[in-house]
Order: sequence, then C-alpha cells, then structure tokens
Amino acid sequence: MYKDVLRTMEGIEIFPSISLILFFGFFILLIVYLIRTGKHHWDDVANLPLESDETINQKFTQS
Amino acid sequence: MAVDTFHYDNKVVRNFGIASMTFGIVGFLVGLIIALKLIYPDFLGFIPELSYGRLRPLHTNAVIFAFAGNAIFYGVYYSLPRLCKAPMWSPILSNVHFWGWQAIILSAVLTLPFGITTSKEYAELEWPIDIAITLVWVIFGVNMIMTILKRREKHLYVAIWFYIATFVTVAVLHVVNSFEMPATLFKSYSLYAGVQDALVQWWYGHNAVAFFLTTPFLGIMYYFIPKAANRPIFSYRLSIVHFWSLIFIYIWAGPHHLLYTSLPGWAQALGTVFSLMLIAPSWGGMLNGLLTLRGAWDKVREDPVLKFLVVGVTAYGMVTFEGPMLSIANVNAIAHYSDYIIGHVHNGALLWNGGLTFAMLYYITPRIYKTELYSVKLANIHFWFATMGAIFYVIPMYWGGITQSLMWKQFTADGFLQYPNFLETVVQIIPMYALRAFGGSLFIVGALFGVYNIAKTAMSGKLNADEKAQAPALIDPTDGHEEKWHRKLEGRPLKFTLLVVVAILIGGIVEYMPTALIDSNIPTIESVKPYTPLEVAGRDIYIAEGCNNCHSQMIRPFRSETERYGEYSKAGEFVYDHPFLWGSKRTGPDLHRIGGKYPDSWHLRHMYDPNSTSPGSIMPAYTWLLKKETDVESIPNKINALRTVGVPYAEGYDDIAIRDFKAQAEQIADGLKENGFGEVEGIKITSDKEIIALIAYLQRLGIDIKGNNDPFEGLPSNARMGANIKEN
Repeated sequence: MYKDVLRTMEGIEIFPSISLILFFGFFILLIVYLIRTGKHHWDDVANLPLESDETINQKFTQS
Repeated sequence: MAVDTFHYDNKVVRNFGIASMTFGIVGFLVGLIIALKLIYPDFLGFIPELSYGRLRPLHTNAVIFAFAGNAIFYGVYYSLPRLCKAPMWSPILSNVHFWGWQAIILSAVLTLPFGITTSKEYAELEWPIDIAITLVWVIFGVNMIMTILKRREKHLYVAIWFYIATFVTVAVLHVVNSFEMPATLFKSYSLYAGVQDALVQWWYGHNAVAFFLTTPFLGIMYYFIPKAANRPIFSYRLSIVHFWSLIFIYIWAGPHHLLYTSLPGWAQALGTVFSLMLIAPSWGGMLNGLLTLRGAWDKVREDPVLKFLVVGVTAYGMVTFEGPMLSIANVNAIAHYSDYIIGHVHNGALLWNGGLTFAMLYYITPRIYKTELYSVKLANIHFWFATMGAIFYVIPMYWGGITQSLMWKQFTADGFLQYPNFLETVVQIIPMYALRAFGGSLFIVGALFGVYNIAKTAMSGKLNADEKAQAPALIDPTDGHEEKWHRKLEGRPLKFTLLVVVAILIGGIVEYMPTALIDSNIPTIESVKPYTPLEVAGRDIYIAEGCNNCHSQMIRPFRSETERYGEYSKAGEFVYDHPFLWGSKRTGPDLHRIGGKYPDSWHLRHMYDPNSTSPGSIMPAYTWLLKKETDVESIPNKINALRTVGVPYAEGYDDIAIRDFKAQAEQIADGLKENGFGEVEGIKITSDKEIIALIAYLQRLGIDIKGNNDPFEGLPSNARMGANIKEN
C-alpha cells in the first residue's frame, strides 16, 4: 500500500531538494542570528552552571 | 517575591555512582577475560557460559549500559536539578528508575552467558527485557521532563538540551530496532530481514554511540568543565550550533558500518557524506570544551577532575576525527572487520566515557559527602594508569588491525593470495592481543585505585542526603526585555523537545523508507529458499553461541575476498535472515560461503577441537554441542513466528516441521556414521544433538545462489513446501 502511495505522488523527486534547502537554510539563519545577537547577549545563561546559592540570592535581591 | 527552600536528593546520585563503579569494574574484568581468551583459548576451560561468544556481548552491554549508563544517570541526577533549581520531580520515580535499571543489568547477566540473545549488537537482550528497558526509560524521561517543567530557572542550559535529545532519541532507536516476534519466552525473531535488518540495526548501533555514549556525555561536559574550571563555557553561541548540527547529522551516519556490503549504494553514500560532515559539530564541541580552559590550564596541572576531563575531551576529538576518516570507503575497506575498530571504540570508551565518568566521581563525591578528596595523589596515579592503559590498549589494536587487514589483501606476484590460510594472519597479531590485555590490566588497576579513593573519601564524610537549596519561585532571565527566536525556545521545553524529535527522525526515515518500500533496492533471487526446520535450529545455536562475534557473513566485492571466500554476497541472499548475521569483526574467517566447502565430519572435528583441523587456532572448543540435545519442542513456535515476520512457510507447516527436522537430522547423523564419525572420543553422535543442527545450518550457508537445489528435497514435507514457495 505504502509503495503505491509513494509511486503515485507527483513530483516526488523534488522532495529531497526541498529538504536539503530547508535544512541548509536553517543552519545559515541560525548562524546569522547568533552572530547578530552578539557574545554578551548570552553571558547570563552561560553562567547558569556557576551560580551558587549566594549569587542566586543576589540576583533575587537586585530584581 | 518569596524564596523557595527545597532539597536536592543526593542519595540517588550516590546510588548511581556506586552502581557505575561496581558494574564498571565487572565489565572491565569481563573484557580482560575475553582478551585473555584470544591469547589462551583454553583459559577458564571450555565452559559454555564462559565462552568468548557469550561473554563478549556481556562485556559490551556491561560497559555501555551498566558502567556508562549508570554514569549518565549519575551526572543527570546531579546536574539537572541544580540547573533547574528544583529537586527531581518524583523521588519515587528516581528510585524506581535506579532499581529498574539495575534489574535490567542483572537480567543481562542472567541471560547473555546462557545463550539467550538476539545477536544484534548492543541490542542483544531478548524481548521481555526489551519491554522492561522501554518502561524504565520512560520512567527516567517522565521524571526528567517533569523536573524541567517544574523548574525555577526559566532558561534551559545547553547541558539539558543534550539530556533531552538523549532521552527522546534512545527511546525511538530502542523501540524501532526491537520490533521482534517472540517464538518462546526467551527467543524472538527480528521483524526485519537481511539488508533491512542490517540498516535498522546499524542506524540503532551507530546512534547508540551517538545518543548514549556521546550526547549525554556532552551534556556532562557542558556542565562539569565550567564547574571544575570555575568559568563559563568558551562560547555559548557555538554550543547552539553544536547541538543542532550534531543531533541532525548524527542520525544519518549509520550506513558507514555497512560500506561495501549488500546495502544499496545510495544509502552507503549518504552514510559516508554525513559521517564526513559530522567532524564539524564534533570538533566544534570538543574545542568549545577545551577552550573553556583558556587561562585556567595551570589548574589542570593540579586538579585530577580537570585532568580526566581534558584527556576525555581530547580523546573525543581523536575519535571523532577517526570516525569520519573510517567512513571514507577506501579507508573503511582496510579498517572494517579488523581490530582497528576495536582500538577506535576503546579510545572513546576508556578515555572519553571512562574519563568523564571518573571526573564526575572525583568532583561529586567530596561535595555530596561534604569532605575533601581522600588522596589527590592517588587520583593522579589513577589518571596515569588510565591514560597509559588506554594507550597500551589502543595502539596495539591499531597496529594489529592494519597488519592483519593488509595480510588479508596481500597477493603474490603470480596473483595468488599470499596468506591463503586465514590462521596465519591471526597468529601474526597475537602479540598485539597480549599487549592489549596488558593495557587493559593497567586501566583496571587504575580504576581500582579510583574506587578505593572514592570509597575512602565517602567514609571520611557523611552523605548530605537532602541538600538544602534556595531559589526564587521562577527566575526570569529576560528581565523585562523581549526575547528572540532561539533564546525564546530555550525557555520552552516542550517545543524544544518536539523540534529535537523532528531533527532526529528525518535521517532515519529518508534512509529506511526507500530500502523497505522500493523493490529494486533488494533484488530477489529465485533460487534463495527459506531455511529448513533443522537449519533454523542450527541458526539459533549459531546465535546463542555468539558465533557472529568473530565471524562475518558478508563477503565484500574485493578480489582479495572473492578469492578467499568465494562469490561476493548479494542483497537477495538474505531475505529470510531474521535477524541478519553479517557480523562486524573477523577474528575468524567469513562464513557466508562455508556451505559445502568442507565435509560434515570436518565441522564435527573442528567444533570438538578446532586445533585438530586448524593447528594454532584460537577458536574455543565447543565440546558441549556434541552432548547437548537440540530444542525440538519449540520448532513449531519458531516456524510460526518466522512465518509471521514474512518467511513463506506454508500454513500448517509448523505441524509437520518436526518430522522434517528429524528426517534431516537422521540423514546427517547417518552420513557421519558411515564415514566413521558415529562416535568422537566416546561421545555418541546422535541426530538429536546440537552439533547436527549446527552442521545443517553451516552447510546451507551461501549455497542457494549456486544452483537450483531444493533444501526441502528428500524431506517428508517436500511437496507442500515446494508448492508454497512457488506461490510467493
């Protein structure tokens, strides 16, 4: 049954090309986005593992 | 805004740590035993439960799922609550997960040495255990996802992404690769056959490496390197690219385990291309880990935790360079089936997985016991034993693997094989096997120092079972300003998980669907027929004894292989092979065309005492096959199960299969008797013995394409079977 479905799809050969472009596009956009956000945009999250109880409390009292 | 007070469960962390160390030592020792068996085949005598073919899967399962598996949970249960600022969602599920996982390990110990195995590498456990694994894995996943949903830190740190990817991908891999039809309580047949089974198995096998031995450890790297070095990861932005590219690309790379096999060429090509691309995310991750230590390298000199982390990540870099190189077809042609691959995986296992595990143990233990490490000096000694042990393991394997492979391929000036006797190429590298056992021993001694050190550390403190922590109810990292795209996504675990699922499904679907659905990918061969009941039983014995751990059944289309073994293997020859038995290493020769090569009596003598037919052989003797009776009663169930997965046995054939079984067994036993082999050293060779079934199977291997012989000819059911096969 599945075989017939695949065979009857029109223009199925273009599907792999579309997928390739989609995924290539995704990674290009991701990189452009990351470059545009800049390094320091991520400083706080990069420091998440380093937070001890004291720094959390500090953050809390600041906000 | 109020501050919540809560407690981290350090007890379950400790338990996973103890389990990892305990099973680690056991798994390493089993490894050493089988390494010694390759040097001294009669080491520990010829006890069925301790034979090489049965112990090797126990070794791989123990180190992957018991040592590394428990280490993963050790790292996750420690870091995840701390990154989420919330305890694990359910302490009950944590405990059920812990004990459930240990029960699965125990069941592996109680089945694999007894020949209860599916033969699919790293998925050897039989169907009831497969179900248990699924349940325990879901419990782990639910506990993890719920913890994430109940977190007090809005942002998900990169380590958590890797944990999520691990959970969902391993679930998908395990379920899809474990589709099997039970024949009895401890025996099942893979739903897939031949080429398709191989493709699914290595999609699973490769991604077991990717999503069990890599992604969780990368999560661990992203948490523990910053912790140990006390500085944030080198580039958070790089980690985002690293994560998505790694999980997307990895899933495609499986077919590089099947280069030059009967797998369709386009699938092999995809495997190669994606494996080559994989070097980018792998090295991106490795460099991200190592560059985190910029300005902190002085600490590496002092701190054993950092030493293990640095060597671990460096080994990861080496292995992930090697992997893509080995996926290039002409490199693969030399390295595949050889011990080079064993060296390659141990480089990763001993230093990357082992290194990160011991780094965690040295980091976490003093903290949860509120004490100091018992001896930094001893930890440093352990470090050097581990590193030197790995070097002494890996280099001889590289050397021996390439030496043997080149010997397999060497021709004389006249165009004959230079080493036509396979055994010559084995004997040549036995010194390398000895060096490997030495290296492995060093590694184990180091690990024992480690266990002693950790135990002394624990004893010098007191477990802080419920570690108190405080955090505001939910910290919003955005602090009022608007979030964009990926940053936003990192605060939305369910959407994130969904995207991970999409990314990992694509590769598998694109590679598998056409192979399964489009007929021209597996050209059928008319003369290829199903196995007779006796051959099915023999095949099951081949699987139970783990013959596939040393013998391949896949002749690649090289002159050096067709000269040595015969006609290369065709996809259509394996359509009734549930599961496929292509193997992945040749400690012994390929067996795909062994059928008809030697008389039955040769096989009888060879199995009883390999040295009698092949002087110097390191194959163990299988004396028990001459004494043990073949399981006849399950034959109808097996025939039924095989019919269910697609082998065209006629309806009702299961009722008369035993008659066929007995008739064929009598023929073989009579033939042996006529040639003076009715008895071997006092053991009567009767038709009900396992050796008879095994001989039937071995003599059937690879002969179908040689002509139109009917395997059912001369058996009581001949007419009915023949009619049915024509229909199909």
